[in-house]
Amino acid sequence: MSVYIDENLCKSCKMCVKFCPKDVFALSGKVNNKGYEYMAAVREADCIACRLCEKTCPDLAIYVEKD
Amino acid sequence: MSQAKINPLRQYVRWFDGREKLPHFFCSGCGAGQVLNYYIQALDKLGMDPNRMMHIGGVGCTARIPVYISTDMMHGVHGRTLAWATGIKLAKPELPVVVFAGDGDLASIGGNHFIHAARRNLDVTVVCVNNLNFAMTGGQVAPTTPLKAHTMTTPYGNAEPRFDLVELAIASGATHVERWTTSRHAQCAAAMQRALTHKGFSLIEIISQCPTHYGRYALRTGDPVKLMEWIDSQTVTQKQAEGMSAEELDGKLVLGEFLRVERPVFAGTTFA
Repeated sequence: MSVYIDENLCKSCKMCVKFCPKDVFALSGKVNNKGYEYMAAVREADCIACRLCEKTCPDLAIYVEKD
Repeated sequence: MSQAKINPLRQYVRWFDGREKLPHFFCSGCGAGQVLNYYIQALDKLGMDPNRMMHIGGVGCTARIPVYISTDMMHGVHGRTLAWATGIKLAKPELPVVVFAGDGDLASIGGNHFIHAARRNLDVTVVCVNNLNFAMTGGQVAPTTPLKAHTMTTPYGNAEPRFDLVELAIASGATHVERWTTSRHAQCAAAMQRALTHKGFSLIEIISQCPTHYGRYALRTGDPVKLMEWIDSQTVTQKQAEGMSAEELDGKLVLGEFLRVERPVFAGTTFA
């Protein structure tokens, strides 16, 4: 699975952390051009492509691709 | 991660001045952003082209949702969304009309337009994002604010009982009424699909989190996830509500599909 995050759309609301059943997301430690510390898919290998993050992201920032 | 890919649903997002109109202006974790996502999912499932639809927003945070959809839209006067929708629907009955209105827009300032559009059974879809206060103007008390809740204008707690939009719509004569929360993404998207295909007045009320104002004043937290969990604790589904007494249901909102019937729709002097 590949989890793509558009870093300039992320507002760090952590909805993906709430909805992800496999705890894939964490803060990236880097700041985007709006000043938010954006999320990163740090445990991408655990992703099961349930797409809950993609469907509930308020900023349309996440896209999950099934390999 | 090789080349970055973007969400294909962003094909429905408006482009303005040579660039995509994202990121949107909603606060971090705002429910209106999630409703935008669910609505685009519903459009995608139904295969509807937003360029052949009309979206109307009044004034408020929710009313900004159509701004981010690639569609014809009107940014109306506060509360008059349904008055505009009535005119558009009578002039072009074949055009699907979707109204995005907040709770302050629909229940307080546009209350009369709402009950009469429901009474006439105007063929529009109303998506009401109910964030329990007037969020854009700074978190004032709204007709939908729960009893005893602290807001900017009720520092000692709200003394007024809240408005139940679902009961109001059913009593006024709406033909499709549902209520969900932003945490139930599949139900929200399915409800919007049912509303877009329904002929008649549809109200989809979505209880949403407002971390910036309602969360900070009433719950002393700005965390959208905590606020969403609080909303989940304050709502029950129809099935859960069946076995509960009146005391247990006090202050709780029931979620579900309440009504879906067919009735002649308003078409001016003739009936379609």
